[in-house]
Amino acid sequence: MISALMWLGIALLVLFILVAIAIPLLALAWWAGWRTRAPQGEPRPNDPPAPGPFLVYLSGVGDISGEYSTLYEDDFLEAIAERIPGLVIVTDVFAYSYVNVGMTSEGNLGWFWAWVNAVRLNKGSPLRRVGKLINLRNALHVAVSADRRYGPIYNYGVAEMILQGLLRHGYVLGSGAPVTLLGYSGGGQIALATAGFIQATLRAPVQVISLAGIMSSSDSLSRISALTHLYGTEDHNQRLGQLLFPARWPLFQGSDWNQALATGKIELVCLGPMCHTGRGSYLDATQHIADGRSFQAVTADEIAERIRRLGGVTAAPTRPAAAASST
Amino acid sequence: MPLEQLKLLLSPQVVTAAALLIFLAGLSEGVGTQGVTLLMNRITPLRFGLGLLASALLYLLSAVIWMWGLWLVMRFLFAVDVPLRLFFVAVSAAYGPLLLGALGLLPLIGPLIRWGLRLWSFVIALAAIVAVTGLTHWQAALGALAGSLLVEAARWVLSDPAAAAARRFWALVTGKPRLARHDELPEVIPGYEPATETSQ
Repeated sequence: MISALMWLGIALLVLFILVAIAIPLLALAWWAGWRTRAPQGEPRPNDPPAPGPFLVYLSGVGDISGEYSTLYEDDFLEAIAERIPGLVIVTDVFAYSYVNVGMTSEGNLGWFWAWVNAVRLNKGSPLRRVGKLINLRNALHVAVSADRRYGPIYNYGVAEMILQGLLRHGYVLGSGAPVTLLGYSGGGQIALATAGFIQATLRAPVQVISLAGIMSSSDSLSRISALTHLYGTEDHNQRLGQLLFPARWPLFQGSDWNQALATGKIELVCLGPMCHTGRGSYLDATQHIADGRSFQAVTADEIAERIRRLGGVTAAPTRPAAAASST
Repeated sequence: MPLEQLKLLLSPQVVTAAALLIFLAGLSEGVGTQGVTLLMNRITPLRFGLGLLASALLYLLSAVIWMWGLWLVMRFLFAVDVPLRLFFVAVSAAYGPLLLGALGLLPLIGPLIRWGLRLWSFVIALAAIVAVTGLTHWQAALGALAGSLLVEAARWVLSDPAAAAARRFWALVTGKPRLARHDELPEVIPGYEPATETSQ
């Protein structure tokens, strides 16, 4: 019995290693031109041109596609939209795919991920924990994005998908409309790592808001207007970024992260006693802080304030990054 | 060491097996390092295969030079009298862990694993030198360090012509005049720039 379990463990470890290696290799093979981007099903209709501002929401590692979202997230994004008239929210970009193909639409494994998702959503299923495979798969994509060997290519691919998302939702190239990338948990890494490409391409003010993001240092920090990291005192997961990525350690003062922190381009904002996900999290509308606002309202207020602030940056004549860094 | 065992270790089959082990380790390490660079430079699958093969052959060549340097230093410093073939076969065992060099591809922890494998390999190399020469561990470590420095010094002296030769070699293999580094990728995504920018 023990021997069988040991062999099973070894087999699972080998499988994990193969998958972990395949993710960056497939991204590199795409970059090299060996693989083409898979068709994304029915072409999505474009919205009419919009003046913005624009908010791109990149969900956490529990996400499975650009279309999938939880009720918590829907309510939360609606709360932000209510606070900013004219805000265009882009939610149909899947952060953990450089081709913006949802997991259930993947060629060979789509059926498997559809099954895993169905099992995790079935509250009575004894196999619900299998759903963590989705988190694991997406966490590996976060690792690829943060790896300095693969990150530039992977993030380039996702950034292009974000640009396509912006255009689908009415972004007019050359309009200079400000763009905010909001990344939740692992989405924070993807948001920050792709923001530099978005800013360099659009030449518009771009900021990143990390909602409890687990992210590495990034050279995007030298290009974007600002990075705001929102966190809760009961959220231990968001501290992982500080622990896992050496470039964020105080020891390496010359890193992009520490430089941006020193110049005030990174702002760390404690929202209150929020935890990472579920009940009591940043998106929870049923829990309240002392002033009577719900956790969700506190988070939405803070994000809306940042979006308004970036809108003001639009009027700056040149180099939005430099203008914002002085705030 | 008994004469029969010595003869066995010096047989051409064992020497070939040792060279094959180093070549495979080079291939595995090449996948983890050179492979990423080659793919990043958008070369064709055929040239990618050629590049990996060339990288493994260069790896074997540099391993042979390193072991030869070690052997020379051991002879000079400690008057060790061991046939070069035997020394090569014994020290080649150090390349065993590097068969796992492709694990260096793992995101984030890959480079750490690669360093761990190199450390493991170095420990085996020391043990092999001790076993085959009869030196103490400290002498073996000193010899290995001095041998490595000798090879590095030779590399430094020949660095300019060697770099030029390497550039020509890689240009021939990959079909690219120069291999770009990961930090030389474009910042702007073509096709999405503001219209005024593209029309200029």
